[in-house]
Amino acid sequence: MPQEAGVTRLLIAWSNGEASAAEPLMDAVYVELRRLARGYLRRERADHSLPATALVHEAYVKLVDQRRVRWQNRAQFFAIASQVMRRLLVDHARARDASKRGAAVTVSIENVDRTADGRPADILALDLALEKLARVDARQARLVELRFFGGLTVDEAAEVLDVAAITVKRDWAMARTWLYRELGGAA
Amino acid sequence: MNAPRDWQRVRTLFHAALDVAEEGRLAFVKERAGDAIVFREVASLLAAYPAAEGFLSEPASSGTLAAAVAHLKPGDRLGCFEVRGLIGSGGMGEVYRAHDTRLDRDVAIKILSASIVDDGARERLECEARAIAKLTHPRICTLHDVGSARIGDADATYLVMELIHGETLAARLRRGPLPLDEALTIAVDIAEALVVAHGAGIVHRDLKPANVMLTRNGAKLLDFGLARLPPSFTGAPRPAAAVDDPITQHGTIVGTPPYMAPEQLSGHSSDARTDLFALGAILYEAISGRRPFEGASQAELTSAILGQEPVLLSARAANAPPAVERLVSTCLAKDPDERWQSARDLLRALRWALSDRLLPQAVRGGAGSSRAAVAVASLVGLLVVAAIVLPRRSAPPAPRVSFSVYPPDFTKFQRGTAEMAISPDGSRLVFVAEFADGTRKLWVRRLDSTESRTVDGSEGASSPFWSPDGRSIAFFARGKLKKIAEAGGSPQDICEVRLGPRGGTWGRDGTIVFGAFGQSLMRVAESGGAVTPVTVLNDARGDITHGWPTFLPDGHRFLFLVQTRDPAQTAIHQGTIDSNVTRRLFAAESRVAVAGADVLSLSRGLLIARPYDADRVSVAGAGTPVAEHIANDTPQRSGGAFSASDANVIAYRSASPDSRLMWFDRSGRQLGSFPTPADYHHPWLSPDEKRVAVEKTDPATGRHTVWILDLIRGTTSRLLGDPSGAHGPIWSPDGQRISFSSNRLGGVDLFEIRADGSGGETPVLNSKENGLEATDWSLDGRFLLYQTMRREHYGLFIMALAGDRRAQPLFDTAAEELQGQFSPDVRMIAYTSDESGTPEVYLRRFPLAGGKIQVSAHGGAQPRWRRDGKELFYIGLDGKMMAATVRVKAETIATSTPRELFRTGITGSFIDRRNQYVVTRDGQRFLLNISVEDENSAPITVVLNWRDTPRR
Repeated sequence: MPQEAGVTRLLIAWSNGEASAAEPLMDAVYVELRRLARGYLRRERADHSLPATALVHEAYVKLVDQRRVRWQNRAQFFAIASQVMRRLLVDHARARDASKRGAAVTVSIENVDRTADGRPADILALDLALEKLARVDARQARLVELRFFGGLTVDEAAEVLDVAAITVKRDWAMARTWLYRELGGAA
Repeated sequence: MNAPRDWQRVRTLFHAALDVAEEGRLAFVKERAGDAIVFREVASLLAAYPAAEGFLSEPASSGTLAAAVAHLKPGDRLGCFEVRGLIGSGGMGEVYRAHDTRLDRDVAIKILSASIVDDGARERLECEARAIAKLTHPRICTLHDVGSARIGDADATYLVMELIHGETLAARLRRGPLPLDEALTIAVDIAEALVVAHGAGIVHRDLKPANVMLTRNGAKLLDFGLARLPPSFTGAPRPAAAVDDPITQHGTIVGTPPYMAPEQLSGHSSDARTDLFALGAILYEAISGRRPFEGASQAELTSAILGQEPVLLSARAANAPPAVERLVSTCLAKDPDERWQSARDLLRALRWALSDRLLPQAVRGGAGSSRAAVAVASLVGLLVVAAIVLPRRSAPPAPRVSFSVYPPDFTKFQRGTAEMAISPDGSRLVFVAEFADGTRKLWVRRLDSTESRTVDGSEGASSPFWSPDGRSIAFFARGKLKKIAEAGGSPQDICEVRLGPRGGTWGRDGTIVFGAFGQSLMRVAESGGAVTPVTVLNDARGDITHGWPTFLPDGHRFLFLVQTRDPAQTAIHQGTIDSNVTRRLFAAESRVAVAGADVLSLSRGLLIARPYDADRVSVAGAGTPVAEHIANDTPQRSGGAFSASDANVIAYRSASPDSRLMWFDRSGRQLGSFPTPADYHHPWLSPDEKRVAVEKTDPATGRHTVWILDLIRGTTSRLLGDPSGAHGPIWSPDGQRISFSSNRLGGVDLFEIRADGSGGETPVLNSKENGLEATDWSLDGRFLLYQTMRREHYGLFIMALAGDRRAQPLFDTAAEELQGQFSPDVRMIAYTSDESGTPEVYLRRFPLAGGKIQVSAHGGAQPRWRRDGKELFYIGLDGKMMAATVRVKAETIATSTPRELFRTGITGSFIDRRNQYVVTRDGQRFLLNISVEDENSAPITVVLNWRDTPRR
């Protein structure tokens, strides 16, 4: 209960513009999301795949006293959580990658005569591409983070980014096109 | 391409071009681009635009990422397979059409995203693929082979599958719903596939229209790629390796299809019934054209699946007959135990529904006879029910009698546990009671008497259970299982039970089965001797303990509780002393009791009785509620405080709710409590002290709302009619109105309503602040004092109720100020502040002038005034009720050293709640909101003839 009060206060404070609440809030959310994610991703009997946004939703329910916050705060929470979620997934992907490096290629059932072009697309590649996008258009990169990692709707994203919904729609169309092209999808 | 101005132009031009028809776009851009760089950029984005439309459309999904890159081109070879073309991008990777040059046939090859599968996972995948490849069935897409290859700079795993011509159900549904017969036929096909797969120990877990192919010969299921069945369900052999899902290992997490079952979303393990949920959702959509669960965002979709019931099928599709609607609803039950329990059952029901439509139906082995069998079974069932029901109707029903059994003098009951047992003939109750020094003993109460008699020699007893002839009682004490004659005497040792006992049961032939922490169930003869296991702990399932066995009437089979590391897997199983094979019954939070043909179980404190069929190992229906608020044990023991026998008698103990409003006098003597314990917050005494406004949590919804307790009449009533939440009530000084906070409008605002609830709520303060709670209403009616969070901390604000009704801050420092209370003459304000690092109570003049005076020493919070303004009460940080006198002489305010009045017994954080007590005007009586931790106060309730009268 005390923890719940703390995060709620931080969230309220942060949405009221208090920048210094951002760091501790992120930390608290990170700890909770990581705890939740660990439980699902590494559990021996993880016989299902849990979507990132459901984790974020669960973290929200666990961390925030919903009596006290407005729905705009909720959008703010998801905004923070989406950033954290992205960081979590990237860290996780890097850890998996590191453990895989240097492992010998095992014998395949059929011999392969030729390899094809193309890079494996995954969270790491997207993360890099997003960073690149952020240098050109920070708001579009943020939007991708909110919608893809946080699962925010157009309206919620508009609230967080403080722009009109139509702007969100346009930005979204362009950002995803840019990223698609960046990740090598175009002909 | 990084210059910000260029980017602006690119962006503007890109969006403008999208408004132009596709053919004219390029020309449009060329005309307006201005320079080659901008033109090239916009042109290349426009070129990527159509393909990018699906990109990132599902949050954090590996599939949509992989769709960005097509790895292979026509002509590429994977061993003997020659790639002919890309069919599409699936959930896990691309699917290509390829030609097997050895066997001269076309196949489909699915490449799993290279980064997803590492060495360990590949082994597991190959292992599972072997199992799936054995599934040869017309309704299942055959898996031919699994291999790995180097594609690009990484290893990819690929699956070689049967190539299917047709379209997916997803594509078909995009054109609209299906005719009822067609939808049912497809559902039958899917169910047939599931029967085969489940029978082999394989669960699909990703069933959705995109995985159902519609071919000329019926529907086929695709993508059994990553499925497995928990061994407890079928006992089928399975790979021994750890079962991490390869998809999630690499940080790519599959999105939420709208067909995911609640247990998949909430992180509990899924089994065959998860597939049945998805099948129900698919059938729903096929018939009505709408999905049962929808949401604008992933979060909304998730909460819809977890918490909302779908709109009835008949409301969405007029052609859906009631039988089909019921069938689909059963599939979509949130609790897997409430769904169809096997694909076979569902298949039968689907075929029946289809044949009702008078379609020629290809009968698979025995469909006709199975229908007859079902008909006979239900007829027999009816007869059995009639046998129980009819005689009762002809004779006058025995009255349902319930009475309380209190602990004998000088003893008390322990926390709610299974420390009681009804004798087999229903005439006596044995229970455990504890003396002040902690010694426990058994007591027996004849149910036709009012006295309980102690059983001498039973010192140290716990978890007693009766012998079948009712003459002896077995119990655990001091590391041993013992038995003793009911009349008392020397107990005899049966065997050692060194670890925490988990109940026992005594069978007709003298076999005793008992449980203990960390063990499987053991058996021993009543005369003692060898102790042998009767069940086996299943490590793969994560079993910790098998406990609380209870024999069924046949004396061979019994029900017991399997406690697992994952609480979601904890369940009741049926076992037998003749072998160690057990069968799972249903998920449970505590043990069960058997009463004749019924099994009694606890669900969220509700004791329900359900008819039980030991042969089919199933319970029927949702059950009849028998009693509410039953105490369950600690989760570790999960005993459940209830008992039953084959006779018509049960006993149980209620759990105490969360808090109690209790009156104390100044010396700390308890004067009485308001009769209804509940989950209370923030009580507020009316000015005439005849009523209390209090915030209460609704146990069903978890919402808080305001109730009025009438202290004279002892009644309670809700203040607000609608179900919106409300908290923090305060009476107006004239007792006519009540103000409260509510977030019904999205923010947290203050409202006001007449105390009798009439007239509706009027807003008092629409604030942009959060955490808004009124803390006091000045006695002269002029001001409202409230606390709210601004920036990082709480501050106190004041609002004038007359004139311009302006709100302004009272204290707005970097510290927290809360719980402000006007003095009765409205010349001072008492409040709590943590500026010193510890919460302390301070006094200041009102209007603010001069400095503040610290009233409390060593911490304090929640100040409240006596009506004459000469005494101030508060709670010390150790929970003591404190009082200090206040003297105002000319310009000075002086307070005495606070003295302790009594210990309240309240614990917790005193500044996180607005107020946990109120005091009468004369300062003589205190109404405290005390949370009730222990359950010693509840008696045992015994109910005779509990079946006969329907409850309420």
